[in-house]
Amino acid sequence: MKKPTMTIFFILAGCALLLSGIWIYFQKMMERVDLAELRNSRAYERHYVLIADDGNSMLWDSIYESAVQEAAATDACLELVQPDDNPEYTQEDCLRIAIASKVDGIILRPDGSREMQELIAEAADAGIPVVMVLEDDSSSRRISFVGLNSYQMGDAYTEQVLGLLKPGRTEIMILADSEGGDVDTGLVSSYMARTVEQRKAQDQTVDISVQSVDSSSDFNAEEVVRDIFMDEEGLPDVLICMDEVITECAYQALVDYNEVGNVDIIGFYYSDTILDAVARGTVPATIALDMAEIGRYSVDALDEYLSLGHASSYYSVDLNVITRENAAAFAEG
Amino acid sequence: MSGKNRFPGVNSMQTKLSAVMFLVLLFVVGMNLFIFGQIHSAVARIDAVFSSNVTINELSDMLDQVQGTVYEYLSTKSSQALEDYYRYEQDYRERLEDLNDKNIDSEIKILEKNIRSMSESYLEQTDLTVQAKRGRNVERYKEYYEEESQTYQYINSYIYRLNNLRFRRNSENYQLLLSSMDVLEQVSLFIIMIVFVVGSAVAVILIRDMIRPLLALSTASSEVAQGSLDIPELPVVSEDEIGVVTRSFNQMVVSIRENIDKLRDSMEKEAQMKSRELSMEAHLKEAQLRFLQAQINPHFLFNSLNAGAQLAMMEDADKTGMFLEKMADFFRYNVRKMGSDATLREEIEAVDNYIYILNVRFAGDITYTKDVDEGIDDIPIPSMILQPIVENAVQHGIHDCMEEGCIHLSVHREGDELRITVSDNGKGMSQEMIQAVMEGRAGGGEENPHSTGIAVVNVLSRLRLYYNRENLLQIESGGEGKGTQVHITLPLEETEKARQDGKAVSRILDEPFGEQ
Repeated sequence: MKKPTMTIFFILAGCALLLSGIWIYFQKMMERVDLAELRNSRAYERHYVLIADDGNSMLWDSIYESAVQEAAATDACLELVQPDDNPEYTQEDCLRIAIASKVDGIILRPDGSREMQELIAEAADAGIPVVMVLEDDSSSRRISFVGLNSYQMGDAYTEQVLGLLKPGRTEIMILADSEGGDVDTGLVSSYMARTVEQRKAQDQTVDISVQSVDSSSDFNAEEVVRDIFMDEEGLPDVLICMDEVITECAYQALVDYNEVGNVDIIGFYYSDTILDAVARGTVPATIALDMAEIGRYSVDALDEYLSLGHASSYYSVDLNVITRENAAAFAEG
Repeated sequence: MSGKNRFPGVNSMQTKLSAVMFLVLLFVVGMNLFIFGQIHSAVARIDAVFSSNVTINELSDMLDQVQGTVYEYLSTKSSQALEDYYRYEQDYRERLEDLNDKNIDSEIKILEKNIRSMSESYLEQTDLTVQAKRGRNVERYKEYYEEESQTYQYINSYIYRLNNLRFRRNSENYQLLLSSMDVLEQVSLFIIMIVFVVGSAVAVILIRDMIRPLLALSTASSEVAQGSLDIPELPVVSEDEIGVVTRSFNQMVVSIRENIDKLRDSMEKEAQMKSRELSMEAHLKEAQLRFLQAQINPHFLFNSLNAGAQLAMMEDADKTGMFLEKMADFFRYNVRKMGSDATLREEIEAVDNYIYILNVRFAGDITYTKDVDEGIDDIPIPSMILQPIVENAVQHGIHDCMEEGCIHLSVHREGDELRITVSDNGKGMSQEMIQAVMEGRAGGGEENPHSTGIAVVNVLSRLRLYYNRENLLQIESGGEGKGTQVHITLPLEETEKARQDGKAVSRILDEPFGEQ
């Protein structure tokens, strides 16, 4: 080939390379504009809804995280409906929306209300199975409950309480979310009372009381817990929290009112703050269900019901007691 | 420009230049199309970004229409409202088809799916409501309307959520596209500059490549124009017009070189021949003169004759004086005019003198007559032409019968020619003799002891040399005893020219004996 032809060839080849580079660059830029909103997504056969009653807690995040993996494994996608999405809607509204949306399955924590029972029945009529987690409402037409029954819970708390009993009188207060069903709390307290009575020392007196906290309205739990701490006379020796938010509120009040050492808190589940408190010994123990199992089992229950037409009505999950010794392991992950 | 290719099978300049133009234009257009395509796709993307919001808003409007007509029907039970309801319901159903109905784990897609499913539920409820209203079931339709209104609220809130989500996502996309457009703007400017530089470079390179042989040709041409033919052969780079011209130029240079060589050879040969001829003639003349000089020193002779003539005058011997004077004149003319031009008058005088001398010698036996036209005395002719002819006529024609001998000289001008005839009534000549004389083979040439030294053949050759023509002298004779006529025809128009040449020749001839 002649020299000028070669020169022109190389010039044009250079231009072609340059244009290709620019083209590729712009294609990449355009690809970043995800018009179809389909990036990293896939279609599934079923659509489940997880209705959380407390949007910010780690508890629901843990449940959702494991449930969504399990759902994906069983060819289903899991939609998390949080109170944040529609602040004006109640859990019942979310349930109605789910029914109207004709989803394939619903996972929720019941509040024990009659309205919810009716809605669950409506869902059942529409062929939508409902699985309850953490708390049970056996009078409803739910297909399964995934969590721990009151006896197991009572047993776990009682074991911790026994270690905290003082010589002489010990006042124990159980702080329960009223939405969670007073029946369960009652069962826990009566189990605890009976067991403690059997196993306490002769010189020990134990007084167990139950305080309901209505956490349905905003900031209510915080106010109730503060009230308890402000009343120094009525301040118990052991505070048993049966809710994650309540645990956090109680711990904060404990620190704020400088009652560390005077009041022992047995918490429910954990957050970073609680784990930190447990690790430092400020909170002796916290009872944590295996939320990953809850998520997994609840999806399994739905899958089983939809595939086979029936599912086990109770799935028991593991329970962890987090103390100073093992707090670090939970903090890591 | 000619539309036809005059060089079939070769790439003509037209094709090449067109190809260069086409290539450059193609490059420019290609680059522009590329930029245009990129801008177009970016704009289309921007356009598409917000179209999803528009679609959702339309959906919301349609839902409002359905709900509005249901409410209107329930309020008024008008058939128009019912008709509107069915129409809007149908439209809404059709529009729902555009929404996702698959279980996709994308927040937007799942929202779409929920809106679609809820809308379907909603439309079922509105149907029930309308049916109940038509059936006048007051309790049921109120109940249904409440349910349907609630679902309507849910759908609206979901649409609102979807719209917000979309808007947020689209705003991100829009920002992304806007930054792409900024980059694209800079890239476009850069590409335009590249197009300018590369286009110019390609055009310059290709045209320079095309023009290079033309430049070489032009340089070679100017060298040839300055006379330097010793140039190397130009290489034929391309088979186009320039290639053809280059090849022709090479052939032309070769041909010129060959022609010049040939011309030079022939000129050299001619010059050699001429110089040989001239030198031969010069040698001949020199030999003749030296021969004459050997016989007599002419200057001394005619000076002596002059002295004799003066002596005769002083002694009152007029005839002797006259004779000696004529003798002196004859020899002076003979010596002086040998080889140079003379006028016709001088030539005739020389003949007159010669006849006078002969008549003195031979006691006036020769009858001499002449017939010369008026006004032609000054016509220049080569010297020593007439006297040798007349001498020949005396020596060979009438020598044996001097008393009856008659010599006639006639000189006439006829048009552009001067006709000179010397006739005698002597013994005449045979054709063979005439032939032999004309070819210079006859005896009595230079060696003739009776001759004044200049033979007919000498006259012949000098005439030929002088006028550069043949057949200027002809000899006629009726045969033995019938006399001889010698005709000399001299062209007058060439006389002047011939005189110039003749002068040059005579200068050569004169030089060795100029001042003797």
